[in-house]
Amino acid sequence: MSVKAAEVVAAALRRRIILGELQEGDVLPPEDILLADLGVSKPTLRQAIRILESESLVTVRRGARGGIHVSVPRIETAAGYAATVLEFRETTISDLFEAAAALEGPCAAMLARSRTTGQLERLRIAAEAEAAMRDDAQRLLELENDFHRLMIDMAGNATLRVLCEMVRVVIDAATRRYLAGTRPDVHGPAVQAGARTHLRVVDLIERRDADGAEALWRKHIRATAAQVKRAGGPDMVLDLLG
Amino acid sequence: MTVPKASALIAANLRRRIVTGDLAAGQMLPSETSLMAEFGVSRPTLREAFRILEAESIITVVRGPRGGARVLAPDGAMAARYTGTLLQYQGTPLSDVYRARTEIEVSAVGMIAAARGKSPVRALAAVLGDGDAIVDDEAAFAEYSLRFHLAVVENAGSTTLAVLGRMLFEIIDTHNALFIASHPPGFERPVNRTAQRAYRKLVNLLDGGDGLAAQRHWRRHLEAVEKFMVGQSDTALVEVLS
Repeated sequence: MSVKAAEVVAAALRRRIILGELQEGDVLPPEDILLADLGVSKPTLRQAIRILESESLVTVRRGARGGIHVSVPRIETAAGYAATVLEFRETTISDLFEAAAALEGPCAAMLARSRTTGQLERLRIAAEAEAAMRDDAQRLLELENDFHRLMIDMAGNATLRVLCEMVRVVIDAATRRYLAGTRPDVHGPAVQAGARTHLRVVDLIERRDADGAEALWRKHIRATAAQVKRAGGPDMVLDLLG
Repeated sequence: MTVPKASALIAANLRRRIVTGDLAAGQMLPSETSLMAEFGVSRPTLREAFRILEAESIITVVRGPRGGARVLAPDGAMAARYTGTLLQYQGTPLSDVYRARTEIEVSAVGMIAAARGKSPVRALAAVLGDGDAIVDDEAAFAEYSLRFHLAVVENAGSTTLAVLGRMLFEIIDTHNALFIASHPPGFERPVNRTAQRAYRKLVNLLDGGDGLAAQRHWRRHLEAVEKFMVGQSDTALVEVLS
């Protein structure tokens, strides 16, 4: 068996997944057909499948509904990998919020520069929905986290969106924990202040004030970090997710 | 609510022992027999748990009589690889990755400028010295250049940002290697000189405490790099990486 040949076969199959020729849940043809198609030896093919399995792009199932099943790349899986690394690096929650400010601040600026009338409208509707939800802290927090994702999406950079999401999944957990661990008279005013900030950032985006929107967004994320920290609770990503 | 499978629970238990350092990188996991006894599960269930952890690249299973499962350090390589595949799958253009890199590094420069002490700037200055002698050696300068950019995100004061930045650098580094290979020798030399001057200027601006000028300068430099590396014919990431 040649390792190189296995990598070539894995690369060819990976490319077919990336290009959408193989889709989620597709089952690869039986081994003998694959062997004939690819013109490689059985050990080479098996090694190639192991490579793709180690990349979470296929799962090999045994039994009646067995076979090699395709799993297309998913942002949740990427975020899971990132979370494991952050846990291993003993990352703190404050550190994570610092990264969120560094990644989402530029998104606010980009959106202020490029926003369309339609995007502005959607942002305003989202921010106003938050204002209407002021008495239900739980639901308001969900809307606020959605608003962050809406802004990140609209900023239009796919790479930043993936990186932001890696941070966001941990922030979701941290802010949920914050809500569960504090009294309503503590977290109520805090989440309501967040909703007001969201309305202000929409105003800045409307005026195409990129510097203003970015500065406000960084400040907003740092303020959230400070509230979460003041409330106590776990300090490490590991203790939050573990 | 779905009940997680036994294998997933065992994988979570072992993952936690690895990220907390109870099981250190390089160490062998306890034998299959003792883990089967500990968790009260069958060999196939335990092996399924191993396969999950193997797919996440946090253990490697050595087959054979002296085999077993060895712990790997979750160093981010797997996260970077998967993220690269995800971005390709999403049809991300190369320029999108370069733009995200620009935003992250400009944020990082702002964080270095805002830091209380001078040690981040000194760390950058320490890398800088290695560049002068190798501007004509394209492969060596590419490696040095990567180290300089890494030093920018690693000294911003957020481990999370450093972990995420490193993922992008892996993609950009792969593209850079292909770029060098597909151009005549010497093609990158003039830009290497320009880059080295830009690195020095960044350190000087940061050292002088002018954070805003440092950020402006670094954005201009990175935008010029994008223009040189991506050019007019922006391709999809998949054409570069797969």
